[in-house]
Amino acid sequence: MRVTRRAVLAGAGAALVAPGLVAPALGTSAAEPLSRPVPASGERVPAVGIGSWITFNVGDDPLLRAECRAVMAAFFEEGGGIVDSSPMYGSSQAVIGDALATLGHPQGLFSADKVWTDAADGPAQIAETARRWGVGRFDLLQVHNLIDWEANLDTLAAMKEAGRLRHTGVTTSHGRRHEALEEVMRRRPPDFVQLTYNIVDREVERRLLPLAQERGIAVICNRPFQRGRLPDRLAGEPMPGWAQEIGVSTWPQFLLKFILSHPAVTAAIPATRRVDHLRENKSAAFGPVPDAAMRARMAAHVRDL
Amino acid sequence: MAGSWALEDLLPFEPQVYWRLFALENESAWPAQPLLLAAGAALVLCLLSGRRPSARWLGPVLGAAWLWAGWQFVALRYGSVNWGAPTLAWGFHAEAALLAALGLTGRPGFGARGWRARAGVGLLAVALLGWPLLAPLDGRPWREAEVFALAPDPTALATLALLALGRRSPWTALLGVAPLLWLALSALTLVTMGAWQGWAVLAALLAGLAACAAPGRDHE
Repeated sequence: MRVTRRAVLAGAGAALVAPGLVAPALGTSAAEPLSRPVPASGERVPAVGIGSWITFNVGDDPLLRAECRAVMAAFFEEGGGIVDSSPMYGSSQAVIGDALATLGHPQGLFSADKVWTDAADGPAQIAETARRWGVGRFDLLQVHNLIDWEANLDTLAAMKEAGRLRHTGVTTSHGRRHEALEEVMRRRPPDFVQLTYNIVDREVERRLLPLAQERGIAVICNRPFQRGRLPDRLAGEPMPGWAQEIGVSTWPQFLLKFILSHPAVTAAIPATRRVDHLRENKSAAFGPVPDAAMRARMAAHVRDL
Repeated sequence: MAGSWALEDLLPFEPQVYWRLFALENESAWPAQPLLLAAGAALVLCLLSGRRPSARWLGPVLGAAWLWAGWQFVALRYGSVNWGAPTLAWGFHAEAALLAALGLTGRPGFGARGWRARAGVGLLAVALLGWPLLAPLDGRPWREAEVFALAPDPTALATLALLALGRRSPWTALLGVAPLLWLALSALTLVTMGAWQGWAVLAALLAGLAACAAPGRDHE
């Protein structure tokens, strides 16, 4: 089913008259998609970005590359935001570069990639990554899965100091190495951290998300759908009536809204190769933001299904 | 749950992307497919009639198939979505070199008889003529069919079948390593993808092992 922004806004409007359980989107109106500031720079980024793990790894296939270009075009039509990739993601970087070149490097791109090698090879890998994207300067470069993180952060900090990079970051995924990430955040806070957070993987709520707020670190959430497993699991379940109060009508919107409503979260980066899914994901940034009570209700509902 | 990897998390591509690799390969190799299928049918008929192919020509032909499947499909096409694939292609090139050497030496010959011969010919027919049917049986288009010499699975399986037909020797064991390893890896990949073809590959692998171990004397 195609989810239109109009339908979502209509749901949001209904929600605005419902008492309690929702809070207005921080710093935005209901007609504007949710965006969050990056503490290090003050720049606002749209709360729904796009990831490229698996979905954009289509090699040289012209048919599938065209699908990726269409998704990227829709992404920028919907306001753009963080586009995230990694040298680990096969052909994804080249596919993004191909799409950006075709689209004429549209406004609204917040380019985010990673360094995924030892620090000695880092500069060469970053140069290759920039060549594949066709960009001169990244908005964000992250140390992928904390590989050689201290030395790689030295490289990224030097690039930022020289004006060749705008933000630094460190990533984890699948809930791994949280203790090491916490150490990085305490000892040498980067501008961004990226971690796995979704309605069932909530361990980061205990320490990492509060620490990010305390240290002024932006947070990107990967695996918001557990690689599609969550929407698949919920697909046959009816949407609770109270979901209208937060302006959602589909499970992917529900799942994203939960993530985006955590005050420490800057953006989520769901990956897709379907334009309708992309627009559905983007629509989750509209309308009221659930408050703590509503978040608890959402999590309990999914847990009990 | 966070903190744990599912096996499918290790695959960096979607099933559709993998199947489309065969469509792209078939598109670029056309019209080699009917020629390869005709040659395969001729070889099976030749074996059924009791004639024995010479290792002097079969070795280089098989070697060329491994070279093409390894370079064109595994290294270039599969390598475009799986950064580990170009490393795997070296195994294909090593097998191609061994098969070329087999052609030079003429050893071992293909002279098995009895159950081993029957199993070998049956498996060869499956690899050369049956494997292209898997795509349409899966509801996918014919253009995604896996054809011997263009796709790695039927190439490895056909090699295993021919080794079952060969005289038992250290060569046979050595030449069997790459097909067995590839088929095992392919089965694991496909099962992880959720594709039933993975079980077909596993069954073929076990059948190939059984064929090689089947009773039957070498023809003198």
